Amino acid sequence: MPLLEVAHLSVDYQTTRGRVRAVNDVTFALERDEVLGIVGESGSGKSTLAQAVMGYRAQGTAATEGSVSFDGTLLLQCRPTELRRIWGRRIAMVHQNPLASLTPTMPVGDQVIETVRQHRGIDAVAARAVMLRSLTAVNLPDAARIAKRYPHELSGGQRQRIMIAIALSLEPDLMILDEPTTNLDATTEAVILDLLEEIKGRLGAAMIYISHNLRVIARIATRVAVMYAGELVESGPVDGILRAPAHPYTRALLACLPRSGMTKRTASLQWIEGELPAQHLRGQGCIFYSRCSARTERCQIAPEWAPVAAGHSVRCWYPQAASAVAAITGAATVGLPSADVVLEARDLAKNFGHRRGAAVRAVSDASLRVPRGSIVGLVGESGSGKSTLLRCIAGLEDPDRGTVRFLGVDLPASVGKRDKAVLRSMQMVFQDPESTLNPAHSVGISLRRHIQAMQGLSATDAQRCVEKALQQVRLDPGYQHRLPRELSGGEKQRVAIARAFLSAPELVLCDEPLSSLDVSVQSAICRLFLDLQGDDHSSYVFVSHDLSIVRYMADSIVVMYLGEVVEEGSAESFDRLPLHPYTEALFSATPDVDPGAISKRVRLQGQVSEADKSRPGCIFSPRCHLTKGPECDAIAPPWQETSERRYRCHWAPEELRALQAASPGAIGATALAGAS
Amino acid sequence: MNARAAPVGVEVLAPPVFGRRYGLRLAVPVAIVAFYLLLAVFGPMAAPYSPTDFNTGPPLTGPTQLHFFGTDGYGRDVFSRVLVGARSILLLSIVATLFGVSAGCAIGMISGYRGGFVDEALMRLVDILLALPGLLLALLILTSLGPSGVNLVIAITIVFVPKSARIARSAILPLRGLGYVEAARLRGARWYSIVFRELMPNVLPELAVEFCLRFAYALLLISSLGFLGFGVQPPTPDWGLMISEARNYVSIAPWTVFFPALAIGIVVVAVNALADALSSTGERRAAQYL
Repeated sequence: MPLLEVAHLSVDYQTTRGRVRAVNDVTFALERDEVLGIVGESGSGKSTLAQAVMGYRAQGTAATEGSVSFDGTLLLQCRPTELRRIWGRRIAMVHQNPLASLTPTMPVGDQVIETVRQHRGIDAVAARAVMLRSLTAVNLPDAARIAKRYPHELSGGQRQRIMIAIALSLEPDLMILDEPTTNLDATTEAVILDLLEEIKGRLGAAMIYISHNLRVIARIATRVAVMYAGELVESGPVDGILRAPAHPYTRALLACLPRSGMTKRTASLQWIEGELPAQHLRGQGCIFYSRCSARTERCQIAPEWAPVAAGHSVRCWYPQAASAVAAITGAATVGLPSADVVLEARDLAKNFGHRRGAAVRAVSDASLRVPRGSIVGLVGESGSGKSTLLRCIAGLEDPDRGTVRFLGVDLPASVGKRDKAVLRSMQMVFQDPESTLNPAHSVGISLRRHIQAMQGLSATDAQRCVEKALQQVRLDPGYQHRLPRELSGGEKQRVAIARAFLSAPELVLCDEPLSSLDVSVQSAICRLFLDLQGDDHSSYVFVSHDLSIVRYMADSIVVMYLGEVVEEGSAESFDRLPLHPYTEALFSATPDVDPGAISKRVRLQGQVSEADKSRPGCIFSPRCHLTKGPECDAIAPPWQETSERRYRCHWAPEELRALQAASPGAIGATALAGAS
Repeated sequence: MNARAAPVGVEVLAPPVFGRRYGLRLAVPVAIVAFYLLLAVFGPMAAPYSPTDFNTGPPLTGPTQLHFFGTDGYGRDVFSRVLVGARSILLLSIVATLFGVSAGCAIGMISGYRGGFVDEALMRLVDILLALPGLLLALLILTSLGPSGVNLVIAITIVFVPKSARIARSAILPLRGLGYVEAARLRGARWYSIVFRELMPNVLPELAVEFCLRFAYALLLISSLGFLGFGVQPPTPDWGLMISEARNYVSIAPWTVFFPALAIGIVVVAVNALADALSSTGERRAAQYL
């Protein structure tokens, strides 16, 4: 008998605009040693499903139908006291935001002990032993010392490990993980995923892993269920789903992701037209009908589950209609970078206020060169200073040192002192689509005001300009009259891009413009950026923590660590060894969706530390897996030049190449194989 | 990022709100305040007697058909005096609140947005003003300027500026680093344009609530100053002044104190209730932006 059997589960929410069905008719079973990955975009109801599976009724739940049988117990029929006995002890949950799940006023060790005593009824001494064991089990070194810390004294990755330790300490039969790595850096995410992979074998517990990220699911899950608009549309073993996706939605999702070795010159990304259908627009037919490119008359009747292969079934009338979605062909029309330089930022440095006496160095002596018509990708973990560098270039922050040379002229540091021509030629797109537009103004007002401030246009000229810009970002002119709250996240970002392109800028600074968007929207916006560049021959500085996107889009890549540039060069040269050890770790932290891809695991020790910046030697050496020891600690590393690329390290190119090529399946090699 | 956890476009609410509660909570105080404003405009016309005429009836008689609220020590009609008194107190309160809250909010918003030295300097000035209790500060100003309607408005404006500045500043602070503000800076917008054209529309609900709260406080302050003899001067009918003049008779003729006090009490409670209702609808409106 399976551990968990969910049959025809539906959950309704009561909202101000009536009832909304968040989960509709979901059926699945989970065996005792399985890891089920549930993948879906925002609004697909995956978190609601996770809660309903536990028998938890979230606030605002109007009705829950169907049945959930956990090891023979019908959870939906349980009384609260019975549920409390099952929760924690037998079903444990790890949430997305560990800071919200931990009590800020209590040392983390005590929180583990409290949970253990509450659920297992053992004495304090035994509970402490369990606590130390589980902290060690999640690879927290020096468990006794960590246990005394408060949540705010730990890094995001450490906090999430504490949450997993709490779950583990109860030895549950089922662990539900709801986007546990979404808020973490790629390198930290990789470490947490390693940990989960390791304990899933050891623990023998079943897991449900929920994520919007297909790459993460591909790494961790044994079975995958794809969720769309509250319904499961496909379910099967991970290899089957990734190699032979049967549902058009799954196929489209996979086509949205840039694979390793794929660049804008070799292939174009797919995206899914339209958006999640609103509740009242969901008909009786297939849930994906409105966005499916392979829909027919028949799809107006809801399809039944159809088997595709062993254990792999799909809810589609045409499970084999693989050809219906256009194959990934044809590169985007991309401009070629030319020799003259649009932007040259030299030795920019920016310190922020004094915390405990010492200034926080956000950016130290970083330089950046942007050739005309090129896309420069700026990557690094959070805290690496990439956003600050961008803001210094834009003039939103006054740098402490350094110069910004733009179109052959040295610019004043502050945006307020730059003249209109410069403002017109340098624009910016921001990260958060929710705050990028003024909620008090309609789209039209925002855009008109923007262009009129920079160019003395008449009202009708400004109007024409706005309409053209909206058209460029593929929005209907009717959108002018809408308020930002009437737009989806992707549409808001489109308007923000339209705003940046109103004045036909030479340089657009993009500060993580894709990171808050769903995968299917991400690729559409990504394509939009490329098309706009093709039309306007503008240049971009593109900041992102998503390496696959940067490798796809950028002509050259700059890697930052703790406010310093550690490696830079042409994008395709990053497929070749050697790489700066930090870049190597960063690249290997991005899991690949191709199930067969072997990737070398390079994991960083420790965490980003402010103290490392004041080291006399290499700032990366405390976390470096290839450190030479005293030499790296004491002497600042020199720039090492290789063809089309340079990096700061004590290892000479030949030595580093030998080191990195030594282990089988080195990343450089896989990336090359993927490209050929 | 957290938005991923909740279904998009689904506004999850706590148990269904009593359908009409929000409506009533707003409608009742609005009706009362509107009634008072009508009094201020038409009160003098509706008054059965001149408010300053002595011996309209025997002094200190209780409420009768001729004198609804009785008469005071000089035989003046309390009902007429309460009706006519509405105009001066409401007019003075509204004008003083408008000046005080507008100036205070402007200072607060500028201070909050600009930060740095401007913020530091303005806020220290505000701190100095805040160190004195409101009534004391108003008394101080009125004793040096002399009691008059104009000086009353000046005094209350000065009392209100620091308090409103604090509120407006804290409303602006979380907005100053948002994307749309930075976009405005990138098109070369000056600080005043950002503060008043980009930011102010987004804090208007908070400012409206602040205006209502200050208005209620102004009514109290003017009555208190009238009571202490620093507000409107006799024989002009004024609620605070009326209470002050009649306080010697409170044991033998309580109506002379009760009715002006009731008039003050009802309007202050109504305006406070209005502020309360506005702030909760403001929150609901704000929630829609998310």
